[in-house]
Amino acid sequence: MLPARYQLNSKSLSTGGYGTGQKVKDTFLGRNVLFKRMHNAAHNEQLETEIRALSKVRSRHVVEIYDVIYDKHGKVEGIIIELLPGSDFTQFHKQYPENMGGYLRALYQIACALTDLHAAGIVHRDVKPANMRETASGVLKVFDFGISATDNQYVTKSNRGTELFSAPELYDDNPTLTPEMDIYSFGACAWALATDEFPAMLFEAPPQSSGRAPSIDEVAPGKLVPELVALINDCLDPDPVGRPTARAIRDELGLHLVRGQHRGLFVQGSQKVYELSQSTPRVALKIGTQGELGVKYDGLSFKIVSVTGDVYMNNAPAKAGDELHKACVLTFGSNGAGRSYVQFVSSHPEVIL
Amino acid sequence: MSAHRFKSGDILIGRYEILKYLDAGGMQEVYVAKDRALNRKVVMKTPKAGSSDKRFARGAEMSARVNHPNVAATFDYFETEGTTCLVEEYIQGKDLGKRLAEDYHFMDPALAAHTLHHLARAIHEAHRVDICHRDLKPSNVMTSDDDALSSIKLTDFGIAKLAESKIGDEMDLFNRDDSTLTSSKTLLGAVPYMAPECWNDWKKAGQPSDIWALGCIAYHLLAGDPPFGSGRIAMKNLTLAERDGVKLAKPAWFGLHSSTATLEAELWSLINACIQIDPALRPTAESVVKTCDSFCYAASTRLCGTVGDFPITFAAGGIGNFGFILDATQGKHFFHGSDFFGVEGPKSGQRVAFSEYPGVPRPRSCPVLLLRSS
Repeated sequence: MLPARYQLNSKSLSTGGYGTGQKVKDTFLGRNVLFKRMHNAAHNEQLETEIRALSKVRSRHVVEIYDVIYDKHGKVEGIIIELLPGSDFTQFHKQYPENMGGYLRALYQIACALTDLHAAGIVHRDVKPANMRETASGVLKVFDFGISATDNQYVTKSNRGTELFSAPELYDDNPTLTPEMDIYSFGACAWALATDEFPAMLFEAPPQSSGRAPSIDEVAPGKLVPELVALINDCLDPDPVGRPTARAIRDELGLHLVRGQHRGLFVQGSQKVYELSQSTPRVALKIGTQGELGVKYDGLSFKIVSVTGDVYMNNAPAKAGDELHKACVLTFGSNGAGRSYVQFVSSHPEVIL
Repeated sequence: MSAHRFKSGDILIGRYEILKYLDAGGMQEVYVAKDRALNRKVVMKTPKAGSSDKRFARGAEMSARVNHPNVAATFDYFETEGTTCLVEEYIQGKDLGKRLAEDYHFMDPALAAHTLHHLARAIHEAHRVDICHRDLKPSNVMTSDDDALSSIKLTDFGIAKLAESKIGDEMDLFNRDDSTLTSSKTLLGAVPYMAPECWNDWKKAGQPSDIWALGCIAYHLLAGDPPFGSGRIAMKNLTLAERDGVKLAKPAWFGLHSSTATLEAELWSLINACIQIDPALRPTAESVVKTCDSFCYAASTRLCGTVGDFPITFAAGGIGNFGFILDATQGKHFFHGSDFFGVEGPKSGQRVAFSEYPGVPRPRSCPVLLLRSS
C-alpha cells in the first residue's frame, strides 16, 4: 500500500525489464520521487536485492533510495527512489563523436559509480545505457540494482543481464559473479554510447567466440586518443584477467578529462622562472654550467625530455623520459656549495562535475 | 541527557532508532540514528524545544530541492511526538567550524582552494534552483574524515529557513537592546559571515549575501580568523567598512612561499571580489565556480605525522632549511622549510598534515600544513 504521503499525480509510467517506475509526489518534502515496483509480485525479491545494494553504497553516481513500501502482510512491494529528470543515455550515440567531452564525462561517471560499488562489494550486473540517467544538475547516476550481487561468493544460475553487455564467462556453468563482469559491461557501454551498430561477435553466445571484436577506434577513427582506445578495448577482453579495474579506468578517464588544463611552475628562490601550460608546453632550464634540463608538457603530465650535466629530481638523478613529480625540487650541480635549486609545482585540476 | 528530546534506543515512527546525541546548533538538536528500513546510519535533526516552527517543514522542502554531490542529501521528513524531524545523509567526519577550532590554524592555499571550489559548487547548485542558504558559516559545512577533506558537503538549508525567522527576531530584539547579542547563540554564529545588506534589512538577504559569506569563509580558511572578527567587533568593523570601504588585511603568511604565490594572488582577488559592500558588484556563484575551475593546485591525498628533526645540521657544519616528518609507523618523510605552512615553526613535535611525492633517499613532502596540537 502506497502511504498517503505519496501522491500519484501522473499516469506516466516507465517500464524496465521487470519493473515499472511511477513518478509520485512526496508531500512531506514537496518533491517528486520515483515509486518502483515489479510487474509481477513473484519478482519482488529483486526489490529486496535493490534495497540491500542501494543502502550499502554511498556514491554520487548511484541513485538515492528514500523509502520502502510494504504490502498489508508486511512484505516489500515497492521502493521510493530519487527521480532522475535529466537526459538518458540510450540515444547518446547520436552525439558521437561530435560530443567527445560529453562521452568522456559519461564514461568517467560510470567508472566512478563502479569504483564505489566494487569497493562496497557490489556487482551491478546490468550496466548499460538504459540503466543510467542524469539528475537535473547533470550528474550521471546508475540505477536498477534488481539483479545486483551484494556478497562476494554469489553464484548465478540464471539471468545473464542483457545481451551485448554480458561478459563471456557468464555463459559458463554456475559462474561466480565478479566485478570484472561489470567491467566487460562498461566496455560494451562505451560502444553503445558511441554507436548503434555493433560488431557481430559481440552478440555471439558466448560473445567473441569467433575472435576479438575490432577496436572501438573503428567507430570514428582517430577521434579517441590511443590511450583511451586501448583502455576500452581492454575492458572487452574475453579473459577477465586482462580487464582493468574500475578504479584504474576512473583515474585514466579523469586524467584525460582535464587534458591540457595543467600548469607547471618553476621557481628559483622567490622568482618565478617559467610557467608551463598548454600554450607554452616546452622549456629548457639552464643553470650556468651546472646542467640543463628540458621539460615538455604533453597535455597529461610534465616529462623530462633531455638532461645535460648534473641534474637531480628530489635528489635522484634526472633521466629523460621520467615524469616530473607534481611537486619536486630540481638540483643543478653535483657538489654541495655550488648547487642551485629550482622548485617545481604543478596543478592537477580536480574533476568536479 | 535529559535536556535532549530523544535518548539512545528511542525508535521513531517505527523506523529510526536513535544511536546517539551528536550535537546542538543554535536551533536544533542533531542525532545519529539507524534507519531500520534501509539498514544504514543517518543524521536526524529536530528543532530545539521552543523553536519548533512550521518553517522547519518549509526548510526541509528547500533542502530536498537541492540535489547535488556537494550538498548533504535529504532522505526523509516526518512529524511525531509533537515534533518534526529531518533525516539526512550521514557523513563520517567533522564540520568545518570544528576543523578550524580543533585541527587548523589556517589552511594552505591548495587545501583552501579545494574547499572553496567544492563549496562554490554547492552554492551554485542551490542558486540554480532558486534557493539561498542565508546562514552560510563553517559549522554548516561537513567535511570527511581524511586530511585532504576529499568530501565536502553543505548542510542545513533546512535550518537556514528557521534561522531566517529566528535571526530576524533576534535582530529586532538587538535593535531595541544591544545587550542581547551575547545571549543569542544563533545571531552570534551568523555575525562574522553576514553581509551588510542583511544588517540593514534581514529580509534583503539574497544570493549575493551567500557570496559575501563564501568570501568570508574563504578568508577565514586562509587567515585563521573571519575578516571582520566576531561579535560586537565584527559589527563595528563592518560599519567602518561601509563608510570607508573594505580594506582586508592579508593573511600574515602570504608572500612567504614562492611556490604558491600565484594561487595566493588568485584566492586573494576572489575573496576581495566576494567581500564588496555593494551586493550588485559581487560575482555570481556561477562565476565563482568558473574562477575556482581555473585555479592551479594539486588536490593530492594527505598523510598525518609529527615533525621530527628540524632544521638539519650538516655533518660538515652549517644548517639546512629542511627536516623530517615521522608518520604513525615512524616512517621518515623529507620536507623543505619553504613548503611548511604554520603560525610558527617548523619545530620538533608539531603535528602536521602533508602530501608527498617520490624522492631519494626519502619521499619529499609538500605542502606541509601545521595542525593544532591535540
